[in-house]
Amino acid sequence: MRKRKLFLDGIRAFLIFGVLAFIVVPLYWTLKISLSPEREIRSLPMTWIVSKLNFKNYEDIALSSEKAVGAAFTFKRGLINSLSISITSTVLTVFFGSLAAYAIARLKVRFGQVMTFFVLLTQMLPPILLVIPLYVLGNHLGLLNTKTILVISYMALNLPLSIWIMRGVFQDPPASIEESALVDGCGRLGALFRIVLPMSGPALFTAGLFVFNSSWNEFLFALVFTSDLRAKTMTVAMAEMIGRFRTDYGLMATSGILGSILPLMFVAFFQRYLVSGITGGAVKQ
Amino acid sequence: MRTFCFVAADLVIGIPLGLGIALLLDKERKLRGVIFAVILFPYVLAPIVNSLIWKLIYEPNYGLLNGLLFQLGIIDKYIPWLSRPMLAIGMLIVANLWQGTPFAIVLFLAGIKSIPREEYEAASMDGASAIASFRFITLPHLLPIVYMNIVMKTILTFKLFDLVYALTGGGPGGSTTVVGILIYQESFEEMKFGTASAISYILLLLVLGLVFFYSRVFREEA
Repeated sequence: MRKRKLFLDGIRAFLIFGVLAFIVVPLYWTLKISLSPEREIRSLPMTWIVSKLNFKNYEDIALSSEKAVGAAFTFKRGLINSLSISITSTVLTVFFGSLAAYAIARLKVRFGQVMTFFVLLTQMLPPILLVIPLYVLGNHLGLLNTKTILVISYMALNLPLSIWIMRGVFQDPPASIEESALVDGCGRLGALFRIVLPMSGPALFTAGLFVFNSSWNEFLFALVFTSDLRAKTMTVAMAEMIGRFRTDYGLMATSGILGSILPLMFVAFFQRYLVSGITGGAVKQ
Repeated sequence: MRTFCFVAADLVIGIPLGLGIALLLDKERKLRGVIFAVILFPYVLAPIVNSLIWKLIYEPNYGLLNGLLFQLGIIDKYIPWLSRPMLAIGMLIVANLWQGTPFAIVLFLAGIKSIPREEYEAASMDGASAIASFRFITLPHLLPIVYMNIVMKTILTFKLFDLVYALTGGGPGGSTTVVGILIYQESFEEMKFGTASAISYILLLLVLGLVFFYSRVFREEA
């Protein structure tokens, strides 16, 4: 019996190891290429470890300047653009999302149920459906190739999920605290900002995390709406590198690593919030 | 429409895979946190980074996959993974699963956690085997989560765009043209906004239909 258990444990460990290897090896490979000298990337037979660490690709991106506009500089600008777009849309989405979530959770809004349903419905639509109308609209408003249109569309994309995450939490605490505040002459907005929001820190943070990550990673809208360095995001710069006729694999891998640092840090430090967002956003029906 | 190929593969392979890994992980105690973090890695990465990673692996001359299989002696000639229609579809499905499965795992793990332990204890006292208790306790409890996964996966797969765009661009010979790519090509490459809008509408109706259908099934189950 004990022998059998040991055997089963062994199999389990082996399988888990296999799964982890399947996840880690591709990441490792990208890191390895980003650190290899160009010559080593294009040499056979393939090697598993870097013979001599080489940070040239990272330097190329960090030191690239406007004088020589190339893939490295495009990516650097893309990173900066992505950062500013993601931060702006996160702040705005969480703010407006909390207003909407509070209204749905606490106020008796007419058609509240129906509205909640439609909010969820938009979440299910493939974004490609929204691209064409938004493109036409942006064209009319002269917003194409600006960061503004990306911020607005990311808000639209992410509001449903963040409303959903926050609504669940706003419903939880007893309404009596708020009601006593209302009796004491606090307005609805005051109750929201002074009482509900401070009590829902983790939920706000979770929502923010998701909005930031999805804005940071978004590609389709950025691809369609931007055309030059003013608004191009990191993902678009990356796709351009992948699609190049003669690809610089080292630089490409480096950009992949740089673009993944933030999301990976989220996992490392805020795993709990991510998981609660995934299960809360999906399971709570 | 090629999309169905991906939806089917995602459902048939992805859901059992997610369930299996979740079951494996549930027993793990010591390293759970670390393993879980690693499992979440692909989920948080940008889809475009996902394509970048797999581009480096499938690369015909210097990629990892060819090199690895060659070193292991499985193949004696390098294979251009993304240049043959059927192969390209398979390769895209693998890359898509790499990123998509963690989501299923998280949902299943949450589901497994919510199953009352007493039921297992009672079953083992009655002499039920591990397989029997999986079949009669775990599976029925997880059924709602399976449905949930089917819905989410289907919807997510209809959204598939970035990966295909960057890895194959819909080729070779249109073999990987999923519906998202088709709409993009019609509108922003061919500039036929009318056709693209028409396809969009069909897709919209399809997704709405699916959502409606699933929600009916859900309600009957619950």
